[in-house]
Amino acid sequence: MSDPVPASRRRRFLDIRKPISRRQAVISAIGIWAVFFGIWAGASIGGMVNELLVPAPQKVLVTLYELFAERGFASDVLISILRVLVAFLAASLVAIPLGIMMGSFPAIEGIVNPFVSAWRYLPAPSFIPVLLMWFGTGEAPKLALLFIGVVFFLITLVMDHTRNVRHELVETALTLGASRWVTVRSVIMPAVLPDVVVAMRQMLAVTWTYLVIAEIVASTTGIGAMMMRARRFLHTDEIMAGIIVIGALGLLFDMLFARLHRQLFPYLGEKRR
Amino acid sequence: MNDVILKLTDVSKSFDLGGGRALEAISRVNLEVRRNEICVILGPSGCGKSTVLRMIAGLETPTSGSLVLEGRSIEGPGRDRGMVFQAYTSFDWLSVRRNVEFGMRINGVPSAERRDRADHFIKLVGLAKFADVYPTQLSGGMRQRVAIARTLANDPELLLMDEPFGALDAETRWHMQELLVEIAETANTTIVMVTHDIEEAIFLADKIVFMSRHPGRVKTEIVPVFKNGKRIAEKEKVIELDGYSEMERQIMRLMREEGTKD
Repeated sequence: MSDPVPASRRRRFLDIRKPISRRQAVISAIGIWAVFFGIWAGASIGGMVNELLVPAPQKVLVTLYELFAERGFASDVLISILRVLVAFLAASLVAIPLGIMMGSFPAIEGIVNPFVSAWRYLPAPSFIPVLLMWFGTGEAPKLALLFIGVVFFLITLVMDHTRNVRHELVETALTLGASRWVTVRSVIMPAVLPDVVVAMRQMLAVTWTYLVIAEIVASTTGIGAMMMRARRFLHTDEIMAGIIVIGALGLLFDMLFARLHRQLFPYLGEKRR
Repeated sequence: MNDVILKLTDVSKSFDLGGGRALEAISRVNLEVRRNEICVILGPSGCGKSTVLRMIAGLETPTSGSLVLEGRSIEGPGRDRGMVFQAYTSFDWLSVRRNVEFGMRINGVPSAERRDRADHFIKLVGLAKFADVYPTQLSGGMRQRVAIARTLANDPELLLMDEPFGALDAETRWHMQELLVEIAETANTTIVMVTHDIEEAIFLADKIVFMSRHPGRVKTEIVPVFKNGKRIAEKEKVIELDGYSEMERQIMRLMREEGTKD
């Protein structure tokens, strides 16, 4: 007869920093959402909440279907996605080269950083009134808000990551005969690129936040505008459907970025230690 | 064979501590390195041996004195003085082969020649089987071999090494030391290496430059004459030689004197 496994060797539910199995991860993820929807459904079926303010989850799902199938919600979603992508792309095109130059050359950081760090502390939505006055009510003020909201943070993140590229890599390039520009292009840029993609992933989530602000305040199209219209008619189910769509889109973009990171940087996944 | 290719004359280096105070890190260092020589700079920590090496690389500028390589004054970093650091410096986004080709690529060596030279040096450091993998998949010793191959393939006049094996475990370290002796023989390389490891210095060096500290200056030069001017690629054979232990004791006493100085 074998000895029973001693208690200390058995797997416990709470083990410090022991990775869990894929199975447990999936069950946990589904579980937490099941509990969330369970409480929500229970509360509305049991009549514990005002149905006008908190519609049942099944009602929200039906509304979501109707929005897409019958009321052309897809075009609102599409225009919101386009606003995020265009503004984010523009911010990236400015922030990434600038951040890399600032992180590589202290002289450039000395000029640009005092300007950028001041702007970072100004809340982007405070520019809405003036953006509306400057750009009218078209796409421009919305794109400008998203751009302002993201670009200064992205510059700072890229600059910090660039500064953290190990100095030995730069000096190695120099002693191999690289000029300053070759060092920036062939060593600093590829070395910082994985961190830049991570920073973009973080800032894309922030872009979505500003999108909703822009569309709620000053728009007749897009997901945020739909939600503001629904509020006027007390259609809580439509508001919640909008929230679900934004959440789903955010998750989708995040997964795309994670995948992009794995595809672009295969060498990072196979570290020996 | 005997010509001096690197000459340091009265090289001093002070660091500004602010408030008008300065720390003299290096004081009037004189040093000569001959072609194909392995010159090891040895000394206690804080003696400024790395600073001397970095000035030879052109990564630091001396406060006074002159550094001359093959008749030309050293003004900044360049491909004629390739450096291998203690920290891993492999470019993780490039395969081993592309790492080794890096210096040649930025210096415009034609691709066919690049490939041949890369193959040659990858083989020389024993990584032929790993030419197409990423450095992140390699062990620490292998990553240092990539760095050595990359530097040599770029055909420098001088191979500079700043405690290159300091981060490796003991076994890997002596394998790498033996490999370096082989490489120096095969590739006819002139090497200036910094270390604080006495055994490593005696095993590798044709000439040891011993530095003292506060401020850093050359205290004495030691030639391991007991090796009879030969390079022996097996470490235990060097340790067995008459004269090895005596030299090790002599250097340890020097180290101790320096260590109790402050």
